[in-house]
Amino acid sequence: MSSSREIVLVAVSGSPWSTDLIRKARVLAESLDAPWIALHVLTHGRFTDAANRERVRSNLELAENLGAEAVTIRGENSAREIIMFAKIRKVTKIVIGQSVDRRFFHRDIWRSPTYALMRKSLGFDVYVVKTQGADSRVTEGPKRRLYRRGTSCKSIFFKVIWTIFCMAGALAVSLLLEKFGAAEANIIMTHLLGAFLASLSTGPVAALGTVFWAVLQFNFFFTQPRLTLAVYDVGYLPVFAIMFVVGTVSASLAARLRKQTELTRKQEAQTYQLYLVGQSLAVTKNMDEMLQESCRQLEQFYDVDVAIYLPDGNGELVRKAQSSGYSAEKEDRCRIEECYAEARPINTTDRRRGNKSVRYAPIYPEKYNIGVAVLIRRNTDFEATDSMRLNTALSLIGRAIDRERLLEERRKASLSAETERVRNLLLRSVSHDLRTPLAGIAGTAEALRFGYPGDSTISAAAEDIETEALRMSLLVENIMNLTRLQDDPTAIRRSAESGDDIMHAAVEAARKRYKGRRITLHFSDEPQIVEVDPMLIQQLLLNYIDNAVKYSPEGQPIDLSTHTENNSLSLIVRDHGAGISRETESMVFEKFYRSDSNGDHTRGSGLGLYICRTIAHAHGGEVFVEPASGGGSRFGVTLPLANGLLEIPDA
Amino acid sequence: MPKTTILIVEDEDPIANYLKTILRTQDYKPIVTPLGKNGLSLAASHSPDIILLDLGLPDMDGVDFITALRGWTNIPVIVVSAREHERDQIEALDAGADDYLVKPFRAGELLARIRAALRSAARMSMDMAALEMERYICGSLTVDTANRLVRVEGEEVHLTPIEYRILLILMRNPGRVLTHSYIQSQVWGQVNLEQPANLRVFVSNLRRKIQSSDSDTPMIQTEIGVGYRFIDLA
Repeated sequence: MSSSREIVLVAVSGSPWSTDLIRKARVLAESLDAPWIALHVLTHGRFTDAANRERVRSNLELAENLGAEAVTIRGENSAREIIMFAKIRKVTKIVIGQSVDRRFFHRDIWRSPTYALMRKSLGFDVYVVKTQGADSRVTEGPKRRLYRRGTSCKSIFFKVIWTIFCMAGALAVSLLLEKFGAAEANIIMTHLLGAFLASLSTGPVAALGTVFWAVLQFNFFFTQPRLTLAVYDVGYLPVFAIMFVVGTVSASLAARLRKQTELTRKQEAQTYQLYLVGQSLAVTKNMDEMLQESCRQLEQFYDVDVAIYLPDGNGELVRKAQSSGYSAEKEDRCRIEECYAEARPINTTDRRRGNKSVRYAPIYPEKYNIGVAVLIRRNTDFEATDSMRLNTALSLIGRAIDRERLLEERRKASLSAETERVRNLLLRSVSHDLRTPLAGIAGTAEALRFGYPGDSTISAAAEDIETEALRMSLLVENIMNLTRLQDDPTAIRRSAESGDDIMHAAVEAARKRYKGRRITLHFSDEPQIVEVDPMLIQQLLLNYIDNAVKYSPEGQPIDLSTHTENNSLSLIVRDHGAGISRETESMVFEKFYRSDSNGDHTRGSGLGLYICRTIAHAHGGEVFVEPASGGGSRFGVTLPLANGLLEIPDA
Repeated sequence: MPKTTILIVEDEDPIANYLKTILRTQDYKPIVTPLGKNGLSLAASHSPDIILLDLGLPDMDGVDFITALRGWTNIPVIVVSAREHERDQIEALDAGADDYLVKPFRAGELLARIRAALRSAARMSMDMAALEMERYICGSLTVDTANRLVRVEGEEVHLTPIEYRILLILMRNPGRVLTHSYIQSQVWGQVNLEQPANLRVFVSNLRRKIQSSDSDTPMIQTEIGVGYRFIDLA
């Protein structure tokens, strides 16, 4: 970014007129073809209610959508924060709103950030957009007023004028004093004061000249003979000498003071830069964003191209983020590795990068090294003070990386705790449901071993064993699918399947499982394609059918049908049971829910329908249950159609 | 007539015992080995009529077993596998297995598959020209290949050329599972990986056309995630 480039900053708050302000700032930025920043200063205490926060958020979002860079920083004094931010980001124009209501000269107005900003603003233009009433909406188009303040870099011209002004003032006062008969010492002191005031804004050499000028001026106007540089009274010579010495000493003191002030200001600005780095890193959402922000901050403040390398799972250093101007070179690799291994910075001049000075700096928050930053100075070489500041910034970034990692670990830990809880619940529920059929199987098998009296009872006993075993196998199937889906919902193996095929397969499997049940299948539309894991959808349908078998009388059929609507395919299983009350409809798909009306708690783990929902959600679909006309319930799943996968060649 | 010999390659004893028991009730002669390598040498020395192969063998990959076997013989192979190996089933079928069963399966199912595989092998061993039959009949469905006529309950049904080809491929292999990719390669001459949806739609349409109204059992059965099987009424 060249220094002559305009950068517009708009101060955003939660006030109703902020959106208008943002639009104005955008117009200004576009007319200047300049980048613009929407800045919100998060102050503590005031205006922190939820509604206000929400407005701030939406305002910043609006600004971002309009092409601004949205920044939030924390601070106590908005005006101060805005100015510091503007200085560091080299902002040239600030747009800020000020409410104008009938009580224009209300006391508070002079305390408002806007006026504070105008008083303090040096080096940039401040545009104040008037808005109507602090609490009212913007009622008419705000008028823009332009305030311009002097530039902070005082020109030589200004210095000369100031010096002339001071000395002329000293002369005028002295002439007045003489007219009223004041002692000569007053005149001498007045001239010294003039010289001192003038030297406040000039350098030490100019101050020397000013003192010399003061002495000459006194000599010229106030010693005999008047209006000449000649002196009759030799007694004046020590006076001149003392004037000169006093003037010189005080002027040099003034100059040193000013230098000190400038230094302090510079240090403050640097501290503030670091503070801003810390602040901006604190508001990022995740590791990637944080690293990207780090690169941006380094690029901005130190005029460098940056890349950050962190070790991946295998300990291999990988480039995680970089500034836009960064390009990697082959030579980097071994230097980065050396820098990482030895945890010390390496400085080189890179021929391939046009002899720019390059610094490989370890990111070293405390005790151990966590990564490497490659910094390529754009214009000048690194200075000693740069290196210290950079190290501080890098250690800030390192801490932020550490913090992100800890957060990540904590997220994982809480997730695995939740998973563990669900597992335990599942295990409890399942072990109960496995124990019941197992007891049945073991008992019947033992009875068989001791010998049954007749053939018919043997076959009945064997059938009992078979039924119980199949129930267990359905349960195990469900648990396997559930754990698979919960571990990684994206792991489902989708393929393009026709709804017909899945319905047919489910019905074929169900007919084998529930012999004697009439299971009908009815297709209403054209064959439709869905992109699903067919095994899982079949499982879902089998769970529905199993549920229908459990909750409807033996002689009643179970009807399966399909239905296409709104670009989605519904697969429906209808039973002719007692139906479900409206209140329980929403609960049947919950984990471990069992219907009490049935009274038979030993059947089903309450998992079947929950798994149906899990499967449907994993496919971007939804489950539903509704009363069927003529009694019973319709359980269904809707799946998004994928007919786009179809490309019928000439049939 | 000598007993039908069935080689069981299965490393889990309960399942192996279960299979042996069922096969003995049908007067088949089972030979059991838990290892794939032994299985291959037993297949060579005993020349069984059919092989039941478990895909989760401890010493070798089931697909490798089939590939090795197919190097020298066309003995029908029925693959038996646990649910979590569903991808392996397709690989096994594409490698040359004739059919597959997923545990847990029922005895009736297993015996039906064995009978179908034996019949199919018998057909294959006959003159290859006999495969091109003039007429296929399955329940109410009649296909007259000479005149390219398809009738359901005596009524003529119009099929598109692709539907007709799919139907013929299926009817020539009654009771056998044909994988999606096999049918695709037979119909289109290549496996169209980008458009797997096409075959599904053709089959669904075909099924609607040939299904007689009074029958609940579909003639074209879906082997979910694997392929299709034409019903074996014999």
